[in-house]
Amino acid sequence: MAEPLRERSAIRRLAAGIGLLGGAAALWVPGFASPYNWLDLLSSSSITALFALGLLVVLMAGELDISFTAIASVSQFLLAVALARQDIGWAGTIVVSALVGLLLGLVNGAVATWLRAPPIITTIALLNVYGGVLALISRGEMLYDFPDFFTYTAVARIGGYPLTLQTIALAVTAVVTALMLKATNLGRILRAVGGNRDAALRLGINGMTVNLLAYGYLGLVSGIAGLAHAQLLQAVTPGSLIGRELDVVAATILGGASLAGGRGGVVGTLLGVLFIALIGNILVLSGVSPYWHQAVTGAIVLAAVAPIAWRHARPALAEVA
Amino acid sequence: MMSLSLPDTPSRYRPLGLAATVLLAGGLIAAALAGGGGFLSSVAYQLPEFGLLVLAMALPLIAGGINLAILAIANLSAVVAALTFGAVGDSPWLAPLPLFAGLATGCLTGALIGLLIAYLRIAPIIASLGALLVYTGVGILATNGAAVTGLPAFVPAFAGQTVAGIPLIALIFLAAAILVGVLLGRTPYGRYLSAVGYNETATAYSGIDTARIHLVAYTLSGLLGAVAGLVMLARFNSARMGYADSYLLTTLLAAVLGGIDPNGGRGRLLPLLAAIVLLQVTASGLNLAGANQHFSAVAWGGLLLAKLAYDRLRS
Amino acid sequence: MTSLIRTTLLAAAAVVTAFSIGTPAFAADKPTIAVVVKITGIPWYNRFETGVAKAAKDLDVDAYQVGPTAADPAQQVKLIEDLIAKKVDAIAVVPNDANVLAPVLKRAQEAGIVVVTHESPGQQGAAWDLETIDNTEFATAVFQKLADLTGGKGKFALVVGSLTVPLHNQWADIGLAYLKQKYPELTPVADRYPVGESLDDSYRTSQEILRANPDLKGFVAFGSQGPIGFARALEQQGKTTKDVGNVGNVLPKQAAPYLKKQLISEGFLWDPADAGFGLVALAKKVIDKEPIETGTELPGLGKGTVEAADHVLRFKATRTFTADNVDQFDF
Repeated sequence: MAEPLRERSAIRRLAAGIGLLGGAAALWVPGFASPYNWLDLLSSSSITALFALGLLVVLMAGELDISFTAIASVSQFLLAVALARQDIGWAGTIVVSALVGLLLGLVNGAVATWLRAPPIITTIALLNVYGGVLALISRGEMLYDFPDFFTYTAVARIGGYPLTLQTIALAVTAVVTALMLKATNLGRILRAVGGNRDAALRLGINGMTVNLLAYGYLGLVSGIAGLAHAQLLQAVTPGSLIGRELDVVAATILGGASLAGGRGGVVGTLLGVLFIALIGNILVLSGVSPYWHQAVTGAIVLAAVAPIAWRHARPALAEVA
Repeated sequence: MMSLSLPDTPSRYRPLGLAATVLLAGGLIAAALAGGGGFLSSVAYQLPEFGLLVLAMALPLIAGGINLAILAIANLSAVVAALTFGAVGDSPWLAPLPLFAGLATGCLTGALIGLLIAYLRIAPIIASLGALLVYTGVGILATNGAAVTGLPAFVPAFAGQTVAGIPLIALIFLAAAILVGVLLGRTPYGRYLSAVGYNETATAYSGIDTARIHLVAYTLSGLLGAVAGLVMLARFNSARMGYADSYLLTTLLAAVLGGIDPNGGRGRLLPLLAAIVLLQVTASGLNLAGANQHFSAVAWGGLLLAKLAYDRLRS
Repeated sequence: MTSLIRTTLLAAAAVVTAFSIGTPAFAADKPTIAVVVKITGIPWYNRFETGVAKAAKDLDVDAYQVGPTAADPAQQVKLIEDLIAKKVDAIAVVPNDANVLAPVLKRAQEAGIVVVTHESPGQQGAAWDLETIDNTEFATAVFQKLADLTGGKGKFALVVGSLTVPLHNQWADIGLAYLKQKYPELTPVADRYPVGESLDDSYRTSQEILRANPDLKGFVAFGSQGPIGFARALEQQGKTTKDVGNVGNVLPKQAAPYLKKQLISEGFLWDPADAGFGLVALAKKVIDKEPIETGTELPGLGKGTVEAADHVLRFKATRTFTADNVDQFDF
């Protein structure tokens, strides 16, 4: 099996890239080396990282879902509405977000699997339906009326450094995802189904069940991401998350996951997200003209994705034969 | 019901009958509500850029791929043409130069995606997504993100010209559509394109150079995108990255409604053309009725799902 | 194949029939004024719409507001083309891009439709443009406040909505020129950051700017989410406006808690509802062929001045929000 090798190569490549970028920035960019900068970076990129971890599971199953930003938007909107009416506490907050996300994720899984159309087309349609309904109902009004418990910047402190809700959510999700992929049957099944769907289905694995689990998990994680985002900004702007889908897809692929399914891991995905966040962080800290940001980010991402995507592409005909 | 359920109808056209009925009903109600003769001309002006973009999306879909970068290509081609206009001045004699530059940009950017897919075997979603990022970045860098203006007066005037009462840009679209139709229905290439989309491995085993089929499909997709970009250049009297970015969903919807199998392999011109016209009529109808644009987004998304569900139930 | 052609013919016939039956359904005595805004479904244009609705009632016109789902001028062109087909009496538009809209607005005028604009001075294809503030005064006031807060020297960061919003960049240009002349020791840390319309981006960028510049003295943002994002970054780093001044465009309701917690120094804006009302009122005056001249009065905006060269009717309705007065505003 060559997969673990390929994953390791993606991780090595990213680690080297991050080391080079970070090392250079630590030497020349003011403010970069401060531990606080790293904590900020962690907090603000944790939303993207959450999405990416959920997406990883869907990609491993050989599927694709780009409606997760809309799921997170719906879930944070309903959460904000609930919080404005009643102090439901942390437990209630987490349950509401996770449940709304899970529900929509399951809907996505059922619809995408049953329709048998390419999931990118199905989920573009779902993205528009969720986003449009949300815009119609909310009229785009921003919600920022939260109970006190929701407003604290740091949930806890370790050695004087603030530990934010976003960091905790990311850590928990990363551990759960890693355990799920490594230590349970589900991980093996995902790899099998993503690697060769027909063969796996012939072995008696139920494709619909696997997809429901994968899409449902992405939905649940998206709900949590919506919560983390609302807490970070202390405001819910309906739809402000929508439009980031393709960036998350790019970061996840960068981390070694493949659209063909079966491949990818938690460490690679986190490094992929960190790599892209690092580029943005350094561009702002070093005072590069904002006109250049998009072109620089796009070029670096493409340069990094292309060789990985190439290695992970469908095998050429000659290899099959 | 439509006559589409006659026994001589191949079953794959029936979904179009459903879609056509739904859309027509909506379009009719809206048109009747609004009345007025300007409606048709409004549709005729709006149709070309949308229709060209749908054609640009259709070819990769038939080949079993997708091109997420069509709008970036259209805008980048328009930007290149606009910048060339700025360099060569106002003389109409030199006008072919900027037009050529724009079309060449479309072919090149399309071909680049084709190369990534055909020879580097990168999945179409990733190849066109990466291209989208880079083309947009290059376009923003070249223009500082601002609109390129100061075009010679004959450029916007072109968008208003009519031949026998029909807008010239509508005729351009029609010509492009007919060429695509001939390509799909009457040439060996059209058959190979469908074959590649239907089963690439089998096609390759039968001795066809499938890489070249992909390359040509994405090059043509880029070219059609560039034509759409030039139409927008004339209609909007300027070029900028980001114009009409929201068309991506509707181009996919039109292609799928028009009978193109999103899994690849199937697609014909006439149903596609009918879907383009009906969708544009309905969109304008909704505008006339004063519908909220977010409602339209929900309607398009819902319609796309409904069409996919209908196909699924029939299969 | 034959049946397909038949369908197409049927469809064409049905459409044509629809046009022939379609007669104008509503009475023509009330003039119809369609307001086309930059983007639909955001708080700013929701507030704008309340002004449009109020004008419809008070002035007895059939006025309504539409707008695209994204701030895309191409979508505005489509909406306007369809409004021309609908034969409305007036189109009042807040352009996303003046150049893009010029040809279609000219076509509207050729079809006998009155065209007025907002925030687009000298727009081709429009009879009049409504301005609710004086740009030089507005920008100067914001930057003067920055100078007051910083003592006229030090480093500050400048944020705009996007690099392509002409108005924000015009304010930024005016302000920077003003500082150069009067407070040369007050300098920006970098070019302008285009993050002012997104709370996510302005928060993240603000954190990074604060980290990179511990000696930062001030922050100016155009785009209503800029000061909020900076206030969140200040709060997160345990600072207040005593350390770094924070001024710019804000919506008063959203900014109120931050003004009171000393995380925003002062907010500058006008009431979008006034602009919505004024735009419809201006369109009605043009339809009724009433004279538009210096001294023309509109409710909420006061007396206007005419700038003939750019056919602008300008009012000075800037509002400033502080911790003390912010609760009076209901938007």
